Amino acid sequence: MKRLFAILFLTLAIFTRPVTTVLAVDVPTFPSCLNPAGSVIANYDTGTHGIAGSSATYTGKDTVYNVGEGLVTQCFCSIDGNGIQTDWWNASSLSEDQVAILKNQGWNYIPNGNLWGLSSDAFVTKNTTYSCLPTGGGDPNGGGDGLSDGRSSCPECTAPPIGGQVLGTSTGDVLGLAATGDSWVLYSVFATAFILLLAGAKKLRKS
Amino acid sequence: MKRITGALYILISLALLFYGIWLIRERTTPIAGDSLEQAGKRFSDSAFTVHIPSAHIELPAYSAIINGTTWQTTKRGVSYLSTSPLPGEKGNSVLYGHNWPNILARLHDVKPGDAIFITRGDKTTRFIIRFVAVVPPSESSVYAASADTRLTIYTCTGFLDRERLVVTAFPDFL
Repeated sequence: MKRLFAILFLTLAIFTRPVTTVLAVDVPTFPSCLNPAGSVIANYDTGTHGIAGSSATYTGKDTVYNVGEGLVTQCFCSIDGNGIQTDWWNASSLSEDQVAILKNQGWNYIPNGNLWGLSSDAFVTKNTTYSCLPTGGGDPNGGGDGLSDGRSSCPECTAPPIGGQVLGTSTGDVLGLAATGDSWVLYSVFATAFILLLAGAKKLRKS
Repeated sequence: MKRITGALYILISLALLFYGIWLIRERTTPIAGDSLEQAGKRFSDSAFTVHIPSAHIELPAYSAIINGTTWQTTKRGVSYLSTSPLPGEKGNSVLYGHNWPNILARLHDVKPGDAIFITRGDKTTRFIIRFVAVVPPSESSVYAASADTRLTIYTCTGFLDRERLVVTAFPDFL
């Protein structure tokens, strides 16, 4: 009986455990390249670009946003539609231990941001990928491709801050996205049913 | 005693199995066609239908709000965040829905360049998908206000729905 409850508890714990990661460093929030915030500090409609943490060169459009003090977001969209978002975080205020923790979490360490057109401070960077509409040198984040989104003059474009008027509440920058799956419910139901079925059959056999 | 307990376990497990089957049925039964018509009639001020041919998605949209930190969701179509502008109006229009087979599970099939049609009354607006990304649930910037006209649709993805698949599209009516 105890074993049964232990298995049940373990099963439910696995399927219902909250998605949390223990962090020793408070990582700042960077806006997504899908809806970048901040001011544009560099914009190249086409050309060959480097991505921090990668030795390859990439051809496409590159837009860099200043998204906060010491925070920069680089949105790159290649000519074949592969997007790479690079979040740059000025590491001058981070200790060596914190940098080591961040490295373990997939961040890259850039000793001198000056080589990348930023300040000469050290930075940590992290890349994430996304898909974007290849525009043959046009502006995947804005104009130049004939689509009307009101953001064609990119050097002047300054995206609005995170949160705000969409929700009309003050929770825009702290609220996450909706949970739209609930697949864990399905898995939990079938896992529990399976365990109970086995336990029931065992008890009946013993009796 | 053991026999009773064993029988009880089996009864409960059978009940859970039926419940699981019911949940699967709920997630896979196609949304009735009349829901598409009713969507426009019942909520004439805000409802519309969403059609994504490349993903074989055609669903009614129902107005939803955020209560505190809880997003209202419907099982009958996609949810339209009613505090965001209507699709086609200036700003970031936000739609979301379950990643169930009968709702937005096939949103994974879309790619940049695909079309999304929003029909409200007699008017249909065509949007072109420009970005597709998988983001963590905490990524609130995707539904933030925008100075342009855009449509953001998202659903859950990943192991145990730990991430969100976000699709951003822009109108091509000009």
